[in-house]
Amino acid sequence: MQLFVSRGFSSIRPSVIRSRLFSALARDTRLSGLAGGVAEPFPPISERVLLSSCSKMALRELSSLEKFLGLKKLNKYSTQGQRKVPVLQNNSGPSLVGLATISSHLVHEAKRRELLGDSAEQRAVVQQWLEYRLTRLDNCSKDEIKIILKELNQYLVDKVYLAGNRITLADVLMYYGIHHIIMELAVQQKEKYLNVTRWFDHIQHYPGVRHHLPPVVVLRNRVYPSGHH
Amino acid sequence: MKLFVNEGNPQCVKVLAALEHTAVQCDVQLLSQEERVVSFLSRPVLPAGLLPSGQQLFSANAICQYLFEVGGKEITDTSRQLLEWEATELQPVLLQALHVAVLQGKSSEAGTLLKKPLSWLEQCLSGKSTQFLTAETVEVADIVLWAALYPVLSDSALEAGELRSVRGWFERVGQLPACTTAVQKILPGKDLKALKNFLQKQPAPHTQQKENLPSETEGVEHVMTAEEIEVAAQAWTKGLAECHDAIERKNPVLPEEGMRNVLVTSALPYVNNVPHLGNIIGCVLSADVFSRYGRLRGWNLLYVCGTDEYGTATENKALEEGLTPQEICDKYYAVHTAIYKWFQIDFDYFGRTTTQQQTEIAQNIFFRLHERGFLHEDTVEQLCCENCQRFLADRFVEGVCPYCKYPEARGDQCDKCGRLINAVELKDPQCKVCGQTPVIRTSKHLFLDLPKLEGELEKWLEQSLNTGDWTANAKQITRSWIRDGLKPRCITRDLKWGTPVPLPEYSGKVFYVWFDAPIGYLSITANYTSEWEKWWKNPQQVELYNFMAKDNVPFHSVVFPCSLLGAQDNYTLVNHLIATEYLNYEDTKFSKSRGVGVFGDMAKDTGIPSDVWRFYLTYVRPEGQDSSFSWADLALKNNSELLNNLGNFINRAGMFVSKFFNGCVPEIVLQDEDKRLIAQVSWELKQYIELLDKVRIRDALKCILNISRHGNQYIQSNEPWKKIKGGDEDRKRAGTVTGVSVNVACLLSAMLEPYMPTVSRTIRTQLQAPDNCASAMLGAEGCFLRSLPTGHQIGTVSPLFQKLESEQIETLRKKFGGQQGRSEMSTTETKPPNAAEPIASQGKK
Repeated sequence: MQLFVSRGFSSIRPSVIRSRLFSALARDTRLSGLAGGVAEPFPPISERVLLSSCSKMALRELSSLEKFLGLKKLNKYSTQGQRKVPVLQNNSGPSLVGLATISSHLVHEAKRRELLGDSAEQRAVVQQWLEYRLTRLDNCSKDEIKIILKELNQYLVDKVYLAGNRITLADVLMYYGIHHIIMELAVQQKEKYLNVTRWFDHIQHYPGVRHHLPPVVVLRNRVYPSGHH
Repeated sequence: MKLFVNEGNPQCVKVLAALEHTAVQCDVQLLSQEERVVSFLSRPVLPAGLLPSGQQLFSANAICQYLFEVGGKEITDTSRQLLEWEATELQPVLLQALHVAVLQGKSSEAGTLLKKPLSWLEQCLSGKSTQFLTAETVEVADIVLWAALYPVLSDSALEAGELRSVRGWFERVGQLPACTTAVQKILPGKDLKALKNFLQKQPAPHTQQKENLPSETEGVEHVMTAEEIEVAAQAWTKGLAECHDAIERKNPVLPEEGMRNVLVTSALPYVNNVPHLGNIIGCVLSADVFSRYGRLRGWNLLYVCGTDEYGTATENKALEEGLTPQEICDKYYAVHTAIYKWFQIDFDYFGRTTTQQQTEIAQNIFFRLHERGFLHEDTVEQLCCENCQRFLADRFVEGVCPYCKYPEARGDQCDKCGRLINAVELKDPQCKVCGQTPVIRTSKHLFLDLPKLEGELEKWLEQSLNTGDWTANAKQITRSWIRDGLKPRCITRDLKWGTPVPLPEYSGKVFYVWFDAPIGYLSITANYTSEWEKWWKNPQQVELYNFMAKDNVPFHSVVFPCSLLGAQDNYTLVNHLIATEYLNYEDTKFSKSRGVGVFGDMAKDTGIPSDVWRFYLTYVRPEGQDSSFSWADLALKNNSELLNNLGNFINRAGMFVSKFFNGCVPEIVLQDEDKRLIAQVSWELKQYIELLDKVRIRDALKCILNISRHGNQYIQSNEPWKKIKGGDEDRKRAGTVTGVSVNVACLLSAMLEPYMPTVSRTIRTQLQAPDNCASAMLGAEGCFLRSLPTGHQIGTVSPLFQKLESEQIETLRKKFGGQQGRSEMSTTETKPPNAAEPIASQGKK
């Protein structure tokens, strides 16, 4: 909790900080009741080698998600088409296609339905950000990246999570999808997109999320004065 | 829940149909496409939903899902999968197909595009035993997919194959009352045309391949063959040929047989205000870089420009400053001249439009059009201010935009939605001079009959678009004008300050600036040389380049060519139309009235040299998309690219020659590594030429920076400063590395000339480079030559660039960030003759 107040979010209204503290608190209490939520510090070397291969990215995400969800039985995946859309082979029914669809299915399987949102409203918001991730963020151009960061930054001004006051599938998949972009940001840009960086740092430290991705270092004190526009 | 929708948008059909079907309680508000509901998105996006919690939904599929859930339906995996397929696979293809079909009129091509997703859906449906996609009842996926496909499947012109199951399902869903109601509300025209407006505002689908040119010059390492390396090294060793003479500037420049005769114009800046950085990069600077380059290439090139001085804006400004229009023009003409001089814009002639030549040429073209029946008379309803006793043309009147309700729309155009307006359509019009409500009166005017000239125009356009280098935005804007069909355009105005209409019954009227102003190119040339017709009535020998910001495109590609074609006098018409997008200032717009941004006359006071401004403005040139000027970025680029990369390399190369070899270029014995550098540099030079020939000014600049990057790496890995202290072999090696580097520096001075003329000259002086080296290396396909032979004596070497400190930049950012000491800012709004110029417009008007 010290973490939140000591970061120098000078532009944030007190009420917002309160709500952040509140949700941080909520998170911590939930955590204590959560079994097996401890992250392994780094994936084994053999798994990390695959990282570079782009087509495997979606599959790596899904396997990290399975671990985050604490699923014991690991599924089999393949990809299809030019865009390497993931496919889940299902013994008991037709196969499922698409990252958001499969992820939502896994969440159900793990009986963690709250990760899809705890009301019709939140569920719609979660689906919306999953769609945003797939249609806007994936395969976006260099220039589009700036727009996306700007939009997310604006959206996250008064939010801790993408949907509601708890982590959802939207946060996890957005984190996986945006990781390579945040990795490349210079310190100054990270400060420009302060809210995105804050959200990102929060999610990457959320127990059990990071798995296959290397951590991104986020400075807590600003290097560039008043870098926000 | 509250829903916001707009007409003509298939995404809105989805949500309305879902709403009707689920019968959820919800307010629906119809907006225009430009309206922003979702505050955090950078583009206006509709439909949008406002949830009871205050959360905003901007995805139609998420809204539909929400409505179904509230209506008591659970979303299954199968539904979710279809929604995901719709958003990720179908939509991109669909948008592209609609784009092709509606905006380009190629229905068959659209059908081909859609084959794959539609046959997938056919397969999916034919394997089902249920009536609908996921169940025996209509679910969310049915509504979403039906609405998405509605525009293509309801249009018989689109051939998409047989698709029996798809058609059956499509009809079943379409019969629902919810669906018919939604279509009636959103797509009232029923056919594809209803979508036109919507599609025009969408970013163009980016599936088409770019031109063959390298779009990303940075980061892509060119792989060279051994042969390529050897060829480049041999060419380099030959050195400068004797025959290359330095190019002389003639006065006047006239077209010559057997030469490439290039006529360059940049949009005439409007005289009534000080140009800002966006104006400068959009027109005069871009054209200047290209002209300087063309002269180095040995083209016979003429670059003319001047101030556009007639029109209501000048009259307004005169009223505001208490001067006569002529005095205003004289005053601002001097301001413009001084600014361009400081920016080192090398016009062959910078004139103005208020000259005798302008009157003669404009009236001549007018008479020829009149004689040939391309003008007709009509009475026009106009606003007339009884208090001021005059007709209120264009910018003398303001009111509420009839389309988007923007309260400060002007008499001819709305700055917010960009639509052209007829002044009488304005709601609550007000005279800008006295603030009174004007009345409608009729007045006689002349119209240029564009529909009559359309056939000829299209014939010419097809040829020009196919053979010339038109920028993509110029092509697109022009095509959309032609597609919408041309209408007669009024070319006269009830004003005093303008070129008089030379007909007795029209005394007291003048030409509308957009008829008059482009003729300025001709009259300015006529003021430069009496033989102006050799340029302007000589399409056989002359190639014409027009530079402008994108808002000027239709006048240069449609209206003005029609005047010239109609005059039937063998006029030179534009071959290459180069339009930039907009340059923003720190992510907002330049605005004189709000004191935001850097204006031409202030650049000098920043203490930053003109060359650095030129460099940065071309570096962020809005080529292909809008870009923005940022102080932090300016400092970063100055310090990292100019100082640490370019300046550092050139300075080191020169310093090694002076320090280690007494200012004498040492002997060079090429090894493989040296040859590889030479080949790399030659390749970048070829890219530079290929790009600049196509007027890709920003991209070509990156080639220069790539060369010095290669050079720095080369010096770094060979360490001549260590080798010079070593044995004989090492000292020779240091000599070769220094000799090659200083020759690269010499090439850089040539390549820099179009962008940074002063720096280029300084380098050449420091290196004592021969006068003809630039033209020798940049002629033909471009060739990197050894222009400083062994034994060549160089001059005194000194640093080229200075660091920009962050405090200095911060001070400047604050100073130009807005409210530049304008305490009366809030009162200017109410003062009747408002000086607010169109902030969105960066070309001329």
